Amino acid sequence: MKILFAAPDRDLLASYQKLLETDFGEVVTAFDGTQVLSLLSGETFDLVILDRLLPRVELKRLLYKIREKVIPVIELTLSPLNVRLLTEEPLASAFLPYPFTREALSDLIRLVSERSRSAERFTAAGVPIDAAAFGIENGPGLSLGEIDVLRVLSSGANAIWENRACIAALNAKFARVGSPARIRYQAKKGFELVTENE
Amino acid sequence: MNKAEKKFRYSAILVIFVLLTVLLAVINGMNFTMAASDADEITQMLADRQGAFERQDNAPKGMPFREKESDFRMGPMGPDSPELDASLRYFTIAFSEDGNTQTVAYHVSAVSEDEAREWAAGLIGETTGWTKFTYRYRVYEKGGVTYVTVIDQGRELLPAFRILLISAIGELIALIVAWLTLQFIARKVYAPLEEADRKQRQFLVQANREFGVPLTVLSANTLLMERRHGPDDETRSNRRQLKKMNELVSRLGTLGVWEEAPSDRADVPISEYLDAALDREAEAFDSRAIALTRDVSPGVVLSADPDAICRLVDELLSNAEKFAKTFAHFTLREENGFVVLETQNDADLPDGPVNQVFDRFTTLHPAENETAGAGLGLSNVKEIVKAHHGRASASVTGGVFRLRIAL
Repeated sequence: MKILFAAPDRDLLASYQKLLETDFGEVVTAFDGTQVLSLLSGETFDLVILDRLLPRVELKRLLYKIREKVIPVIELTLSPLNVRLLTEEPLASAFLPYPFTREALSDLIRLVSERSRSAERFTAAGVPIDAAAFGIENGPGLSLGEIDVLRVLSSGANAIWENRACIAALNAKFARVGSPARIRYQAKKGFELVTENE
Repeated sequence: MNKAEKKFRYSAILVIFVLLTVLLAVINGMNFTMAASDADEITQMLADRQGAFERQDNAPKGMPFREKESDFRMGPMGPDSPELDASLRYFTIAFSEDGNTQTVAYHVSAVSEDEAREWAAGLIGETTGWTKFTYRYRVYEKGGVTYVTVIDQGRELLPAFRILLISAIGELIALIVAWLTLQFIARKVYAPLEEADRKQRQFLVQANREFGVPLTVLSANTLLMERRHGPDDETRSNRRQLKKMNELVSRLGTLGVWEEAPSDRADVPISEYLDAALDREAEAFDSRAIALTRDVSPGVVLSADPDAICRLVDELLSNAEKFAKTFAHFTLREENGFVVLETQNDADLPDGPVNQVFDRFTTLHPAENETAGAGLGLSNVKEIVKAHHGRASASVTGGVFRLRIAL
């Protein structure tokens, strides 16, 4: 597996290059946005780990560029996962807040790469989900957590409360693509995936 | 405008209003009481004279009240005025036992003599008081005859009413001026406090940003050292300390989240979530031999930010798990339109109000206590409650720590 790790802190890059190379193979590092763009145009990567505060190129531009190449991306954030983060830039495949451990990052890399290789597609309340591409087909991107929630709900089980940020973000994204699909809480039943006229 | 500033303004204006009202009420009350007393003195003088002053057109003027020219400046006033006889508007009607009615004195213009007689007849049986708003009367008996004297005090009361009106207008103006001044003062007083609070928040969020990356690097480097040389006491100690720091910094990251009013309000089934969270944590409480009990009203739903409410419940559970000695009890109920969430435990704290537990980085437990947190959990709770316009209070009674939240 070839990973591009982009973060402005060179110590972080050096340490994680060593750690991740042992676990996953080749790790290429970049400490600013221009380096990322240059590396993306010349090489192929299986996964990108991207710090939100990478200098010199706007984060959104980098994310679009990575998405164009259908590469899953783990976004390193400074705040815990929240609805705003999930809805404002629905381009990352997963989010990991600082400070994190090697175990947390490694687990996430495995999950994201497995999902991107799975070529899984499914429909949730009429909304076509491309799980491998981390998004609604021809619509906004979805994170790993959001896709997991949809898979659980589509199979008839109830999503758990811990996924509440993903649930709120999914409802916002359904509305954005004009879908009547909604995730609703029903007393005694838990969360349900329904269409608005139900 | 923050809550403390608002409270200061309203409290200050209330104090000013109460003080002014009391002061003006006393002044005006005394003014009217003295006017009544003067009127009573006059009616008594008339009663002593069988209901009438003897008006002698040819009597010598000016004596005995004015002995020299300067007496004009400070002559007697009120009922003692030498002009009383000449200026008093009054009538006295006498009612004898045999049914005869006689006009003893009639020096008014506002009522006819017949009306005066009828008016006086209506006052028989009374003693003294006000009639028709500005007239003072006295009913008295002399030699089997009942006299009713009514004096017009309209002109004497007019200044008192003017003072009352001026007082009311003056108070209103004073309150408006005070309110405008308070706007200015409160802004001046609270601006530095707000700024300090804003900077503290900014620092906390910034600290999360500034420490997040170094801690990640230190964790990675510790791991690399262990890989190279094997784990030893020092690397294990580093890991423990890093774990603590990571937890603290992660918590700091949540502080900024509740700064703004909740934007994602939804119907949060708080009963279900509390039950689920208590079930989830039961094992952890068990392992510390803490009896975890609950009294959760089913079906309680709260319109709130689901993220925030879940965090709030998690923080309360985490707090109880850290500080309870033998028991922790959670109650959820609806009370007067509020959702009330209470938690009690036997944390080792002295009796009294302990609202400082909501302050950032404040923990009431000794620093050497291993379980003591960073003092951010309940501060987070307070922020969430504040963002939902609720109330949070904490107290210790009989060794039982009680925390009450109304949303």
